[in-house]
Amino acid sequence: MVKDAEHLPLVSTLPPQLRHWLMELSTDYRVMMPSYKAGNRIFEEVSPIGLTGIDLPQNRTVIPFKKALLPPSETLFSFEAGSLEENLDAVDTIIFGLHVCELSADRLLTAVMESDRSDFPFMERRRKTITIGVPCKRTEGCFCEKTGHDNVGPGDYDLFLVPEPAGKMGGDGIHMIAGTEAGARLAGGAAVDLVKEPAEISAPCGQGSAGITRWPLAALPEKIRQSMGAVMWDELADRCLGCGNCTIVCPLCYCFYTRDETGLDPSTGRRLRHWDSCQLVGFARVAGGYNFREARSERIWYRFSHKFMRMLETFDRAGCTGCGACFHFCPAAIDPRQVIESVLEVTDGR
Amino acid sequence: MDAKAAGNDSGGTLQNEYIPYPARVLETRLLTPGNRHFVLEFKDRELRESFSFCAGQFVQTSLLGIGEAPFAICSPPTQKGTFELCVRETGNVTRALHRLAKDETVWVRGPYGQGFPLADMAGQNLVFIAGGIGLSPLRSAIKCAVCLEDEFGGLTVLYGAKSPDQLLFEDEYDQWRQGCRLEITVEEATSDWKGRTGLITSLFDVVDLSPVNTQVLICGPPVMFRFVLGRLQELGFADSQMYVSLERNMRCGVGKCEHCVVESFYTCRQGPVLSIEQIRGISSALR
Repeated sequence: MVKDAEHLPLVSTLPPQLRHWLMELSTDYRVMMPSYKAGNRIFEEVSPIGLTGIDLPQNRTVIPFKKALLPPSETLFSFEAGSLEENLDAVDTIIFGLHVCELSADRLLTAVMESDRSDFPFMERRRKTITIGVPCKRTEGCFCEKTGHDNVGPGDYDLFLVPEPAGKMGGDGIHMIAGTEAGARLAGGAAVDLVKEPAEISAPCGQGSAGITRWPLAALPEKIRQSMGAVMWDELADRCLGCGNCTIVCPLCYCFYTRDETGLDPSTGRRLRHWDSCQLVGFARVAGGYNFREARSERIWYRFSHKFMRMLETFDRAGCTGCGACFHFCPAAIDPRQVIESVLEVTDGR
Repeated sequence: MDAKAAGNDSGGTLQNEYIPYPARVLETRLLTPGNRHFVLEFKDRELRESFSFCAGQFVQTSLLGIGEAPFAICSPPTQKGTFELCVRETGNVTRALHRLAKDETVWVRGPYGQGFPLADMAGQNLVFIAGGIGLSPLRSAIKCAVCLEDEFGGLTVLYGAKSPDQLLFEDEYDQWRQGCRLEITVEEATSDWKGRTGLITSLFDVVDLSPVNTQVLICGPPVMFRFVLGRLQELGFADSQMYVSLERNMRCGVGKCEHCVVESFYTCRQGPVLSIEQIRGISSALR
């Protein structure tokens, strides 16, 4: 197991040999990585020129990596004069700079989208994507040790970048671990040492750390179910603004809606799919106006039940990585840790 | 419920589920004010011949530039080559569908979800209870059961509509009565109405329903479920003998977009048809 946080230099700029490697790759691949935009850290496509000033282990992103696989808006197909054309936008992509929790989220999101009748646009993009993980450090408000998204195994990453203590392995204080064949092939062009035996990688504060406190993940689904209708959800509804921020910044929220768009000539246009939010009032409304989740308290319970009941029951994983982004960007400062603690409290002994 | 276990279809096939296929409107007529009937045929011959479904399953139907909406197929699965929809004018998509003429094109994908398990009901008596446009998915099952009469015991249809002018598929009742008992009631009678007046539950006093070797298939507005299920339970019907078809905001049809979730199941995948046994303890399912 690799535990590297203590050896982690604050990388404000990528080592030159990695920068050049990525610049070369970005001619053949779309490279998505955390970068700054208007003062916020977001995952976005970077041009080779922009490959400077990257501080990899720093804070969470506002816009999560999911947008590389499920864009905020995409064209499902276009149409013209009664004929339809598929326009799938899936190009070879490298997602660089993923933390352990994000690699873990990628695994779960892929399992969701692959299950049953798979989501073709997502899976096509996933198939063409290579992930490169980087170490993280504890950030105020993150809690992957509680959700179980604090470790990934071989195959959950293609490559993982590991800063090393001085003197070890030579190189420039950095080496890479290949989790997959594709990762090993890609790393061939990088002038850093490559470890080809994939390893389990853990977040610095996660699995293996002293005194970590997991939530009772096996018991949570039933407790969430029992908490339905409890006063705690009404109290949350009094604070929640229903803005949907939490779902946008969540690496594991993936709901969507579709909409047709035409120009002045209505026979020409396209069908778009956009990110949606279960926190918006019309989410469960049907034609005719009946709303199956009119009350905000029901919508909040619904979101937590998806993450801590349904996803745990179906995929054996919580639908929350513990990144804390929803809390950080919530205008009402609703903290999922407090929500789960309340659920455990109100169902205590039941 | 195991979300992975459901599905009439094979899972994980690599095809883009969100792409619809063109179908021609062979016939369309207004059944009642606000409800229009469509007979459709896929333009692609291969698809036309391979398209199969279960009574109670639905399709996503689009008009390009307007949008997409889910509709239960109202023709029986025994009918090959064409399929039918009954569309109530309620929103943008249905309003545009109502303006369609013969030979125009709609775009269809599906079928999706679980239908009524008619194959498992062979040899049993079937009771169909429909309220309003709830007759639409049940018509598929009724016509199928009437057509395969010998495979089932007695067939009974209880149907309630708001008013006589809202009765759907009225021209077919004589034909249905060849193979089943059909009892109808309306909530608001008109002066020329000679039939029964009252809520759907009033028909329970007209027919003698016994839970012995009988399955009940129900579709109607949510408010109807509670009263109908209450009466059936009084008569001794078990949860495993009663099936309902639920309405929710089904959009993707493949359990991804999350709009149709009821607590722990996707209406578009594990539903829309579910037995009361399957949804026991899920309080928000029947509202």
